[in-house]
Amino acid sequence: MPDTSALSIPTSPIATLGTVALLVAFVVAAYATAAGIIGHSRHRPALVRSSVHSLYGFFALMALASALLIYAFVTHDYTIKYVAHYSDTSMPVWYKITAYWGGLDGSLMFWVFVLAAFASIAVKTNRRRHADMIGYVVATVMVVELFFLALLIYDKNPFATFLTDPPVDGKGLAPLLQNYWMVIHPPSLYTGFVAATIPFAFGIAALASGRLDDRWIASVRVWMLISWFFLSLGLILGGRWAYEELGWGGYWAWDPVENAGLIPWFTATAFLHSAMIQEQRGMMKSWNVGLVVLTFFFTIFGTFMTRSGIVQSVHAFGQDNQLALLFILFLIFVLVVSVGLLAYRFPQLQSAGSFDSFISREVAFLVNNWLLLACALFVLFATMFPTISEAVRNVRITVGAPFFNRLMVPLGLLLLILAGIAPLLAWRKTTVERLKAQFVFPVAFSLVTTALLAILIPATRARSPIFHESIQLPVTLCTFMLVAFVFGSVGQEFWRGTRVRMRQTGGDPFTSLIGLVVTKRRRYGGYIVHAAIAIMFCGFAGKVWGSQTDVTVTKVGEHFSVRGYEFIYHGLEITSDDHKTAVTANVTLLEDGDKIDDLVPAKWRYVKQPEEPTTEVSITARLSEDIYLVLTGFEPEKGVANFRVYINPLVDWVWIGFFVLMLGTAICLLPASLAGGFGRRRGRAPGTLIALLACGGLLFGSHTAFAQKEHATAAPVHDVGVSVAQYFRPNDPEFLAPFRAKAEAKVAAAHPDWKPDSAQFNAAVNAQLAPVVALAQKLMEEIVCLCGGCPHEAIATCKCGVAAQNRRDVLKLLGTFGLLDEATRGEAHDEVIAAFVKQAGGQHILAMPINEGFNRLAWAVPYAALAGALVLLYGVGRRWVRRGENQLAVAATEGAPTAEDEDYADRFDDELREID
Amino acid sequence: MVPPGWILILQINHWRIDAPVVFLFISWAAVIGIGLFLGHAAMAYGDAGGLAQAADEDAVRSTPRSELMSEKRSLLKAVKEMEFERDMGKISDADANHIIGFYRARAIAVMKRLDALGEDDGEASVRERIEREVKARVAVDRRAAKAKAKAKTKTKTAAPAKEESEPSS
Repeated sequence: MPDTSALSIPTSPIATLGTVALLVAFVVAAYATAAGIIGHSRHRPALVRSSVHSLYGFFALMALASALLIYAFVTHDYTIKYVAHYSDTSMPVWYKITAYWGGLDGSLMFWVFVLAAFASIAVKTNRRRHADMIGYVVATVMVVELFFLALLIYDKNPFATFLTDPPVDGKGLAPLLQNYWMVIHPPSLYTGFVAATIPFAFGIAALASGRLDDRWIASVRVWMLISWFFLSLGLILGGRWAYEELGWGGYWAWDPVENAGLIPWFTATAFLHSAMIQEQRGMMKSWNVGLVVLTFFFTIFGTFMTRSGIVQSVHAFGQDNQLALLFILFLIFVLVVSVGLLAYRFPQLQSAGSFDSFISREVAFLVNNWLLLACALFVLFATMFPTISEAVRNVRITVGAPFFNRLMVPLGLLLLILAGIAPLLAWRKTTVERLKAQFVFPVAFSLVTTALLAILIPATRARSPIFHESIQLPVTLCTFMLVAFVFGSVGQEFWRGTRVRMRQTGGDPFTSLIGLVVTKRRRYGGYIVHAAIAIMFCGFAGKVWGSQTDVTVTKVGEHFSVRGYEFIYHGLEITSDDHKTAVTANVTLLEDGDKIDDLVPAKWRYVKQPEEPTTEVSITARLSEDIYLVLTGFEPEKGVANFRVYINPLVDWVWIGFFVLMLGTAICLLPASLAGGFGRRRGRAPGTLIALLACGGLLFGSHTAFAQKEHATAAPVHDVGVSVAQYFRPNDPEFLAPFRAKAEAKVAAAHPDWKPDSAQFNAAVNAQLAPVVALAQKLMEEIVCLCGGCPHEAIATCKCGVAAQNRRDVLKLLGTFGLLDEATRGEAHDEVIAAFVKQAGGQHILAMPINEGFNRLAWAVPYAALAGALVLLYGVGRRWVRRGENQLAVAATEGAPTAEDEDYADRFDDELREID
Repeated sequence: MVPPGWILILQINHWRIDAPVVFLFISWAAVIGIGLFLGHAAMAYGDAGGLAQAADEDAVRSTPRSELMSEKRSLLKAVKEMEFERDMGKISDADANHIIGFYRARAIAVMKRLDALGEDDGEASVRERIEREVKARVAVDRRAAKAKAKAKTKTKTAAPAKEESEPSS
């Protein structure tokens, strides 16, 4: 039995109490599970009530355990191993509290606590409406809780104590985690993961009880939306944290841990759309249940990925094979139970689905589901491919950002097109004439915007590869075109909807607009979310014309310029406190001679973990672009400093888009009671959650504003020597010298009348050298750094000495080829790649696996799956459209209504008037 | 039960509120919650036989009726949505009316089946029965009002006719 087992009785009173709370919680969870299931299966509602109260009791027990653990942190109870490992006396109280989820054991307990809280809210608000299945809901949640509690009790007890004398002081939280983003990012992501358990519980309960009507789907939809919102919040906060704290100038690197949150986000988004088809048309019940199960499965799978060590990531906890095995067993259990229940209820879930036309909103949603599911499965496949490769061939490879971007960029653009098209389509059927009328304004708006951008901002015309390197398109311009199309489409919907509302109610435009949004909050809240996604795409698109520049300054007062900005270096400042030593560079930023900001990039070295110095970036945020300064190296005695300057165009629109997304989600979740008496609709979300969203927004907003000046901890960096970051770049004069000589000779031979120093001559020489520089840059982007301190960054961007050495090797190898003709360049590229693969002992040094042998699977499977699913989609759509046409034809042949029918029609009209 | 415990904690901590005290407060509240909820759970378990029947009244069973009701609700929503789409100009009047007519026909069929099921109340829950009763009464009132209105119009139209016929006679 491991010494961290809860059954090894600890000595500290807090530890004892906490452990007892966990053990009692386990017993209560087991009872609640049994009571819920037996209560329903034997028709004993009092037992069901008992299970519901047990759930509340379970939540109280987990609240007690959590409060005790945090109490141990804030009172420095180092008899508890977890406390000693993740805190120390000098840490601020705030970080001591957040150290609760800083380690594996605590994060698992935090999971249990958050799920208990969510489940209590969900059960409390739904226990009457879903009285005939609430026991099953409790039982499902409790089975998940039992699994995590079993892990805690058996092996990962955060209350485990030292068997020998406890240390006098703790080790302290990793510097990486000591910043405000890490205070709010993990809880929000956990909350998203955990909240996905609630729709799953309702789904399983509906399957178990056989109650699969739209009452179920309404509750599930609300909870899925809440889960989706928190997943979005977690992802965006993670992005913001990476942007500010990791010091690499970006916010998304397709790291496995980031992907773990993104995969269920895709399936949850798919469900939120397909659930509308079920509510509108009573179709796709089994598909929706499947998506709910899949989303939950992916949240557990994501937890498994980050906690078992099966994937390599700077974010992940260490390798733990035993934990991995337990997670795999649980995942199999989840699949078996879910698929078994689905199969058992399949006859009830079947519906005679029919579509009236291919040009309808239903079909747009189907395509949307196809794309989102393709995204989820592709990201899953690509994330797991290195593990699959290792398991099958014992060969470790790397699947980096370039591989993900190759397929995800076109898929993202297709989703953006759909976000604009779907609002313009009617349910059931849209005729071609009507379609034209709907599309005129958005298309015109999009084309005019594109033309203006192309003329006024030439940078938007930059071409970049899509699908394949040989396919170069102005992706940025295309993105803006689609963004404009979405704005046009959503704007038109609001405009026309308001006019309809004005006609219906006779109100003024503003009142009608509010009334429209409130009464049709799901539709218009959804449109706002579409607009938010489009805004975020503006931020993504700007990345193409961003830049990265390395600079060394040797004396105080030195100036340097980057893309029109001027920087004045005022020297280094060394400060220290109980906690850390900070080396801060003082730099003034000017534009057109006017000062616009004081920048203070720094490096911190913590007393407790001096081996993990952190980089503090300094950002001047503007709507047009961020000026992002990193101190990459320094020599305080000489006053020498290295900087890296990133210019990140439009990046702030990513964060702004998220605020808009929060607004849209809040509108979708607006409870019927707040919507002013339009309360016949189901799907009441707890008002507290709306408040929570608002608080989350305020918190995020305040932090974003605050973050521009404050600088917290960042990822560990390697102690670099001066100038290492900019050593051995593709435009290195020494590397280019022999090629320049050859190019000059070539140009002189071709144009003997040109003077050697003339502009014409130099331009021709530079044109000859440009492909050589491009080849070196390409290679530096294809080879990743294996220093261990970065998430396999390309050697072109990594700031460490290992990357610099690799860059030197690339240039050295390239120097042995005559690179001025294209054929040799191709050969040189392959030779350099082969040399690096040989030296590293495998393809894991490459950002993308080479498209050969087993690796072809990585390239072929996603495309094959996409194509296969498209064929299937077309087949299903065609079948449903035919069925719909037949139904309408039959209806058209039916006779005139009888007197009795008219009476029913009157009743129908009366009921129709009651809903808005 | 919660405040006295908090006062005791405060007193022990010399009336100072700091981080440990806050988490002791939460711990104490949790302890009270545990007692309360687990007590309720135990009582409910003890009551399992006696209250079973009463609690069953609340439950909404999955019955043909509830499925038909759900279908009717879907159709109502679909008609409403279609009317909005028509007003927005997304679908032509002819197409909208055609599809709405189709929905209405289906809804009427569903309502007829619901009424047929109404004779057997054993399957319906209390809530459904109350809802149906209320609707039936509203429908009766409405028919009466309609009949009254019809009668009024008849009298109104009959009166001038009479006036017109009187001189001729």
